[in-house]
Amino acid sequence: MNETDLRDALREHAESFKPDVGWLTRIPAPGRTWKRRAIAVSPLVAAAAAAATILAPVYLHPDGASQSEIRGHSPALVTQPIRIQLAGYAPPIHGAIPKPLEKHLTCMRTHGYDLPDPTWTGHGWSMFVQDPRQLGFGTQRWKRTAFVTCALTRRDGGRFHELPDVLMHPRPRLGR
Amino acid sequence: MTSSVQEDAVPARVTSSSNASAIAELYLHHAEYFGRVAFLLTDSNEQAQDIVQDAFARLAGRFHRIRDPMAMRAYVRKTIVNLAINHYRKRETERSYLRSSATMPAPAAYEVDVESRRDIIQALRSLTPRQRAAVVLRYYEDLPEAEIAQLLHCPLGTVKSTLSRALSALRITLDEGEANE
Repeated sequence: MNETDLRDALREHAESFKPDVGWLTRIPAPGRTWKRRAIAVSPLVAAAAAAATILAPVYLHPDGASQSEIRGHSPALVTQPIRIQLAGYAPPIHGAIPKPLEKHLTCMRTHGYDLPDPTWTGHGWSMFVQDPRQLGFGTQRWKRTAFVTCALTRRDGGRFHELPDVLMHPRPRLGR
Repeated sequence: MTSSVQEDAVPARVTSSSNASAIAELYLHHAEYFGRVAFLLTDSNEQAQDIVQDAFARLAGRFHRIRDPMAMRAYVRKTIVNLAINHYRKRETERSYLRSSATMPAPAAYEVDVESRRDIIQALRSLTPRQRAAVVLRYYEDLPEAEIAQLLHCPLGTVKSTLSRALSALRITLDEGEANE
């Protein structure tokens, strides 16, 4: 076999390429690959957005500030005393703090956040924090501890992805 | 030469027309030719069509960055070679799995019936993906070795040795086929 034989063989074999009817008219659309990538990324973005939306209302500012306003505060700016409202927890049972909330507070304190005892306002539980900066309120570490490590509605062995569902309906699941 | 005809067929007004129509024009001019190249690389009509479609779709995504029509051809060719090599590797992995399960004969067991062009194509299947790509680019597309080196991301010397080994492997396979008869 010499190079000419090889060339001829390749040319002959290439001629046996028979595309499907209509293949030549199916012109690839611009941006097709981009769309594929967008589809691949979108579930992650959607999941992150959903988690942020569900977790954000857990800690609310009591003075009528919107959630976005609170999120807009950098930890360094929160220097004034604040009141942290804890949403979604049961009212006091015979004057006592509900067990899940108590667990949460204990956990936070164990992790170095000296939270004061919450008080029942009639709409929910709230805590008055004299020096949020010293407490570390709003820092990444605080958020991780409050929302993940000490998420009081997290069941034993529960995963983070179960958290949103549990947070929305804490009371019916307490018995589990 | 097939390739030189195709080079001349590059539409001169590709850069002046809109993206979609330019892609369409380019596709209509070159899809069949590149389909043949992909077919030689993959040995499959369906895979060849998919690879060409994919290559042009990728070109469409980056169209605004490429202004030179010749660069577009080079981009498509490069994409096709890369996709074909990847496809070939995947197929080899599947084959090796099947081989280990003893459900399919090894490629070395391909029988070469008679000394003909068909046998050469059969022997081509015994080459590695890179060797096969180098052979197709050199002997079907008639690309200079330097350009093949760019396409395959390797030094010129490597292309030369790859081609040399590929031809030796083809000859050995054909000789073995003759000896078995």
